[in-house]
Amino acid sequence: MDELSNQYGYTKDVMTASDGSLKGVSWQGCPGVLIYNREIAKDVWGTDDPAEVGAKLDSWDKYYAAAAEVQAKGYLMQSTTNDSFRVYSNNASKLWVENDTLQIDDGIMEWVDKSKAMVDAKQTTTADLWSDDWNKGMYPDGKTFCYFGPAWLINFSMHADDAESVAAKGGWGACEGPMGFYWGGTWIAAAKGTDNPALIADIMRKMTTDETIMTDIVKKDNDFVNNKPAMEKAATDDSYAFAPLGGQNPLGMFAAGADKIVLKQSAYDQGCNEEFQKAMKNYFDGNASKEEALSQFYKAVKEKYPELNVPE
Amino acid sequence: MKNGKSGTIVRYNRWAYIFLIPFMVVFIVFQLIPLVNTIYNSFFEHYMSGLKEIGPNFAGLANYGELFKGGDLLKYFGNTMIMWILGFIPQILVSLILGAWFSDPSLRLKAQPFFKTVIYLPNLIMASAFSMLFFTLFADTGPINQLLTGLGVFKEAYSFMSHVGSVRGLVAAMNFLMWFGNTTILLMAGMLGIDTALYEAAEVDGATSSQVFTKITLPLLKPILIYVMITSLIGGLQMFDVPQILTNGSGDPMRSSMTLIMFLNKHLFSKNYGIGGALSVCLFFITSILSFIVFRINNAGDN
Repeated sequence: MDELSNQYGYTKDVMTASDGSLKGVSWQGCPGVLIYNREIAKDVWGTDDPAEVGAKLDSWDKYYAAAAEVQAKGYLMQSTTNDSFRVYSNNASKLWVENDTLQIDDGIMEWVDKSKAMVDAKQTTTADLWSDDWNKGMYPDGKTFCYFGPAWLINFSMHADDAESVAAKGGWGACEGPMGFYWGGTWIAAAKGTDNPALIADIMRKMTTDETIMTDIVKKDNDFVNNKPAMEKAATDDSYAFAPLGGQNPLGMFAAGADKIVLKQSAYDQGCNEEFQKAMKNYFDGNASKEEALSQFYKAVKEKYPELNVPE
Repeated sequence: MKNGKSGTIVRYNRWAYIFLIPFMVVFIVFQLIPLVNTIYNSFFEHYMSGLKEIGPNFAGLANYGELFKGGDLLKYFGNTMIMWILGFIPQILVSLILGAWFSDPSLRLKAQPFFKTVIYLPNLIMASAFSMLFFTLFADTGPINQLLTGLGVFKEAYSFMSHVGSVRGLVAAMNFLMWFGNTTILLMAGMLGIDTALYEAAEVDGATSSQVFTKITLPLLKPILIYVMITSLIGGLQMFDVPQILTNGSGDPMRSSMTLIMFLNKHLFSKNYGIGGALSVCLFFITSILSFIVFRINNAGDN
């Protein structure tokens, strides 16, 4: 276990079984930040400096006030309502399911009310995450102010390889945003009955503990890796700057975020998160009242997890 | 009756049974056993919660009760029928016209094989790919919206996936596009089977072309029409892939485009054999009843 002492705690908690044994390891850390479009920031506030823009977005109240300013200039604040969902759901104080009973956190209900207001004010849309409409904001034509995401989103999903995209021109900036959160991650685990246990152990060890290999991943792929001391060191080193972020080095922000991640999960989270966003889209689109959308959510959860108690 | 003759009949019968074996084996293994199994499963509580298996516990008619509670089943049946009818009406009309034109020798249509191939082509594309294509075409920032806002038809992008009418309309349009070629070929085959002497006689008697169509073509086409209607109805009740992909499995807005099979699919997330079985049994009865009604209506005038 000492070998893994440099890794972030949550990456190990995820993979720890109920009997306390570790089942897999990760080379990645996935704390999220708010990624904003520098050009739009300049247009709205006359500055694209991460510290100054960050100060305008460091609480939800300021964020929604900023959304109105951004909208007044003809931009969307965020691409879809689902962009901010993860930020709220990661910070929920209640789990989706406790004692086999479904419950909804107050923070998530706040997301519902705020998102509805945003949709009505045309500050965002109701498209699905990963859809073409969602992707649109990664290009200048999309006129979208910000996305919420971890390092892998910046590198793998913002179309930095396409010369037309905002990322290719280094047009994004990063700041901490209203709340810390995390998104996803990749873990390596050995398959049961493998013929090459020694080889696999070696790959896992090298990928997740070797500092040279890990810092190389950061330099080449703009990812954030699971190595506390190395990342804290790299945070002040300009050679680790992210090209899509216009030369900003966000590693310090990520390192601070990764340290704060506390896992609070139930086995039903994925299903509940998905169904909740799907059901609420009906409310945002004006096809249902909030109560109708909620009862649709309860219905969908009961279908997925028949053993749960849900409100009627 | 002599012994020898009845012996021959018995021997012929034996051959018939032997020839039936391949069909019966396939039917029993792939149809009858699953059918009985489904009915049996519908009386049990049996599903998975993650990796944990719950049941099977005998539950009597509880699954059916759960299914009919709240009237959702009726709503999904309604959605299915609305989307089927919206697609089937243009499908049968267009197919009848095209079939009549293709089979009418006096029109001397050129390049018939080309057109017959082209109208059949949409059916060769996978339904899910076709649906994905429509999803992209009709996205908020997709080409259709760009075109319509560019032409000034809409002031801002129309959200096709957020309105009941447009989602159902798109599903119906896709089903129509995919199946009218197939129906045309079937109806044309039926029309070509009608004795041309009848048409000549009608022409001699001075019948107009609409009279020929309604008094000769349609009545003689009835067996094929019944076949087309019943197969299309059963296919319509089993409608799944097109709306499933178009709405990302949600059947939204507010499940107004959720079909019965999409509802069944919802219960397969938890491998819920009980409710799934009960729903399948209901579907079996609905299909039988509707097919029987179609059959009776089409045969009503015969006696």
